[in-house]
Amino acid sequence: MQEVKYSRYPIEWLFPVLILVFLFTAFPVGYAIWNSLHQILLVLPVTPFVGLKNYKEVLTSPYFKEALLNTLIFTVTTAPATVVISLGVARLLLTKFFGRTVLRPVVLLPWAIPGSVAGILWLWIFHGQWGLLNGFLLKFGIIENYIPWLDNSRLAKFSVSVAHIWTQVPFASILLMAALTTISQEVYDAAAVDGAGPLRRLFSITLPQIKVMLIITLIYECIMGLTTYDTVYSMTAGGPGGATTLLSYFIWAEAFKLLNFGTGAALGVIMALITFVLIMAILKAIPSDILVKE
Amino acid sequence: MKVAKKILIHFLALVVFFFCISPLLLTLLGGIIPDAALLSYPPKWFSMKPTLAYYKYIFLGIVPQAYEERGAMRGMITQEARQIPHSMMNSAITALSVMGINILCGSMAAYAFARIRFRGKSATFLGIVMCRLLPASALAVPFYLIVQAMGLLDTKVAIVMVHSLLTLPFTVLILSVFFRRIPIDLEEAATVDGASRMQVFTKITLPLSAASMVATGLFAFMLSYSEFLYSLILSGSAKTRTLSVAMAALSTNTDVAWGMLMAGIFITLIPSLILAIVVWKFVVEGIILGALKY
Repeated sequence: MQEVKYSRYPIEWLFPVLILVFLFTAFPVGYAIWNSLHQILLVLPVTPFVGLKNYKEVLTSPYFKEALLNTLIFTVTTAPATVVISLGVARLLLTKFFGRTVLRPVVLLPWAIPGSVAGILWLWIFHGQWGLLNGFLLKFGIIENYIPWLDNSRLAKFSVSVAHIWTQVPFASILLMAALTTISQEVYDAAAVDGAGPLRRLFSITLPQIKVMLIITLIYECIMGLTTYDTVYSMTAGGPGGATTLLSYFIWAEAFKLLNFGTGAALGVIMALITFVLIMAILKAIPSDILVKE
Repeated sequence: MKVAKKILIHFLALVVFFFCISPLLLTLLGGIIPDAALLSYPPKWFSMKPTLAYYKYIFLGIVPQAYEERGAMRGMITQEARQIPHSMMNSAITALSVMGINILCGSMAAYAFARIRFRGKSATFLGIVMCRLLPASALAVPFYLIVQAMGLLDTKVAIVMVHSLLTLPFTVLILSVFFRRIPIDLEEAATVDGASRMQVFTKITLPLSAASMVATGLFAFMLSYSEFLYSLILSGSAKTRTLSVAMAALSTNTDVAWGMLMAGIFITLIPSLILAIVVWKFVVEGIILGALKY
């Protein structure tokens, strides 16, 4: 074994990445905080300091409360659902069967599709007037009349969640697949000898063994749920009413539709804080030696 | 019992397969079925002859005959659909540049993380990887203002920069996993012969890992190709619009013929499918899953 010898900080290797990360992470975060304390209207040249007024305005707005509630419900339903489905998909992709080589890359497809395009696809499936789902249901005689999937606020929430889960399953599946491959077959063999059934093996071996990755995936999916944007944008544009307006869409609308950059930034800071807490949770969950050894 | 299990697995595989690929098949159908049949109620999707008119319009500008015959329908043809080939070019140029930057800067940083011991390594690494998780919409306002201050609004440079930032963490993560798996012997031999670290990197590591680096670059290409939010706010005119933005604009345009939209989406999805296959084969199976089998 060679002794531990530290080199000096290899800045010449890292600077291109670090510059980008600094320019577009540290700086924007600082800038957002500054913005959130000022009144910024594009039509006016002055940006007076207004203290916490933007925050107050945002936090007391009924639209914000609706968006926040929507986002929370959206996140606590889609994140666990994504993890459960992805675990199933991951397990399936590790099973040997005819056609697996074809199925594997196809699973990646929902991730490779631009989110806005995925939104349009699901819009077509759920569309109230000429949606495919309605068409099929009618053809097979399950329904008499078309169901207004995207015009009823409850159904719209459901439809958007389905589309979101669809876009999230590939990445979560890869993470969980990677975790599943680390469990050695011997453990399962031993359990089978001891007479453990499939359910018992799932709860006593599989889940405990991949617990860390499950938690990481779950938190990651929470972040995705909190910050998702494009699929909803092209599917419902936040409607009907504000039923599917999520925080990130709300921020975008506030800043780029109403051109209210100050409150937009305040919203951004609030959201970054929520996300930051979740990121810290991920860091806590990751065993410190999994990524980089010092 | 064995047979039942086999049937179940294949059934599940089929479900997952169609869950993931059906949008592709649906858009293929949607793009060749005339609107009149597509929008009929009750649905009669296959009552009319399939048509390539939408594709002809998008690529060649030939107005579909159905719209010439009935003057009232003329409004359903929109110039925006004609932008698809151009924005496809934009997307390709942007994503290729992002891929280049990722391969160049990402491989250097990844190599440093894989091979050099230095203080602050984990902190730097986690900083780079985790910044990707900050919500895009929260940083959207400062990004816009920074790019505006640099005078780069509505240029491809700005989009390439931001996409590089978004994809570099993934590239660094994947490539550092990959570099660590290359046997160190060759590099050590070169060092003994008096090569500097940079020479070792460019003369030995790079040629050895060219294929994987291109694959990881394609992964960045895929993410850039599908990114939407920043492309939307940073690109103003048709000059810089990427495909995902053009498609979202098309979908919110109430004038557009549905079949036209589907034809456009199908064109968008073909590269996605090819990318998904390549990325799965070389990145997911080759690097991510393989790395954890040790």
